Amino acid sequence: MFNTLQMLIEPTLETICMTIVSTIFALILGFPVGTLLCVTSAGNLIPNATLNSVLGRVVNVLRSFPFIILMIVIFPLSRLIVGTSIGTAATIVSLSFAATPFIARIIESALKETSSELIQAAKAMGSTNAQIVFKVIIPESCPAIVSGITLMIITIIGYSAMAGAIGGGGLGDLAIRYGYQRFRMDIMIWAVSIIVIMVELVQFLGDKIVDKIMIKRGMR
Amino acid sequence: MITLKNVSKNYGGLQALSSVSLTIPSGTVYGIIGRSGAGKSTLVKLIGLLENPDAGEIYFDDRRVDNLRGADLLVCRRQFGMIFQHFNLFSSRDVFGNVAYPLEIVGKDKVYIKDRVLGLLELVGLSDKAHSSVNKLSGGQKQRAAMARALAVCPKFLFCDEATSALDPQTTSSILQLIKNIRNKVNLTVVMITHQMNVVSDICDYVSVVDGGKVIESGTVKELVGFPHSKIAKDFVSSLIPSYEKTFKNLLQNSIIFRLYFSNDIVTQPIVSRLIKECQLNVNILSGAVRTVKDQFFGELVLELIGPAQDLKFAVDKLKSQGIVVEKLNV
Ligand SMILES: Nc1ncnc2c1ncn2[C@@H]1O[C@H](COP(=O)(O)OP(=O)(O)O)[C@@H](O)[C@H]1O
Ligand SMILES: [Mg+2]
Repeated sequence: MFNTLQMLIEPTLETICMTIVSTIFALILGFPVGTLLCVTSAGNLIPNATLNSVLGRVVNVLRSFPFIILMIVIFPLSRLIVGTSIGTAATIVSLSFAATPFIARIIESALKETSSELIQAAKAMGSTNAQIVFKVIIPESCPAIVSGITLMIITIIGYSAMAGAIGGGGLGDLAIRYGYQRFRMDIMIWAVSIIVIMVELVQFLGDKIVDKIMIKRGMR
Repeated sequence: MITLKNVSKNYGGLQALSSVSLTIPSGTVYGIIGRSGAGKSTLVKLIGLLENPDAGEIYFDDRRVDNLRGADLLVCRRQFGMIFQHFNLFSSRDVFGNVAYPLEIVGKDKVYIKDRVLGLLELVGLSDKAHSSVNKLSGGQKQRAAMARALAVCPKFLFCDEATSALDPQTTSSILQLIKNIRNKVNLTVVMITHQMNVVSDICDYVSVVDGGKVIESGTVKELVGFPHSKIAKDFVSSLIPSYEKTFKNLLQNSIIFRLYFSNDIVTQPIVSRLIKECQLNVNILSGAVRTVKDQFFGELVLELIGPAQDLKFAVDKLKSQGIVVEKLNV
């Protein structure tokens, strides 16, 4: 029992680390893309059909890759960035890229909820486009952004487990190596349970934050 | 002064405005009235520099503004405030934050902003709501907050697009009163876009009637109400339901006034003379009208009844027994 727990600690920390770091990188890459997708759409702040459709296509293509394939495609890039194509660091590279188009769409649809009337009111006051994005659209969409990021973190936890199949480290890796390849059912169950608890915890926290914002805004 | 010269706007083949010319004198409250779809919001988007006309010119005082771009456009937009039917307040900010927004974006410092915002909230009667969420305000309070926000940068012009259309009559008149109060304190040209004739008659000095994207008729409100020419202007004028509360304010305090509603065959009966003969009352007719709606007649009489209490009760019961709806105006 003690041995089993000890075996679990490192992979758990790895999964947490992979999830957090990839979320941050995916947000850094995906948030601007999502914002651009939103503001360039028809009838929005700076409509630009060409940019919008090119960006939209790229995002769609990347999103339609099955994650495992995308990971393999990204191996050379991982080698370039972190010097290896296996382990936690390499997985972070793939997870970040895999989650980027996903978060871009989530952010896009969250930001699009801001009514065009509200944007028009901000415009009429003489706001610059940057002011409208940063002081109006993003703050107004905060609840939708938070629930979108929650969904994204959960997806990344799932992806990170899948990455285990190709030597990605973390709990998924553990479950495959011990649970599947060495028939250690107990380890498999432990690993899966921890993943389930993580997902539940993230969902719970995300919902709580959204709730708090909504209550503060008098919308609930 | 705002001048529009032959302004037209086309939305994908739909002529929302065609060759509109208007002069809105400084310091006036100028009403623009029209039915839904007449082109009023299009007009306010053009003078609010949110969209460009396809043809024509717009001037603020003597400066042409419809062709401004970039920074000039932003600066020009800061000369006016705008309020809307659906308030368009920011949910992400409390009342204070909403009023502070237009000051923040022009880079005013915190101390100035605090001072100015608190002053504005006092002006609109929302001092105690500074840190409330805007979603917790009533409709009237939301419009007051929006007004404070619109006035934050000391605008020369205030554009109101159906600003009272989502409000009940009492709240509407309190908002109109607020606009009047503000105009007494600061020099402001107000453009009131509305489909409600009572708003025009209550607050406006001048009015233009628009329909189908054209200005049909313009003039002082008194001219329009007294002598409407076009069919649509006549319709608007006849929609002016007399506000008994106002018209009979003094009477209501000192005497007993009833409003009688009745329909169809009762319309042809001598109600008033019966009241006099059969109930021995003195009757003073304050107003009376018969309207037809889909071939049905609807009569309305507002009467001051003078007599002893028991005779009044007898009379009211008698009227009710004939199928007349009787409403006492001063409760
Ligand atoms: N952005 C737009 N695109 C297409 N048609 C529009 C647009 N804005 C307004 N219209 C049309 O222009 C006409 C006038 O609209 P609007 O100015 O909103 O009228 P009002 O405010 O008087 O009700 C309507 O027929 C409306 O459908
Ligand atoms: Mg309108």
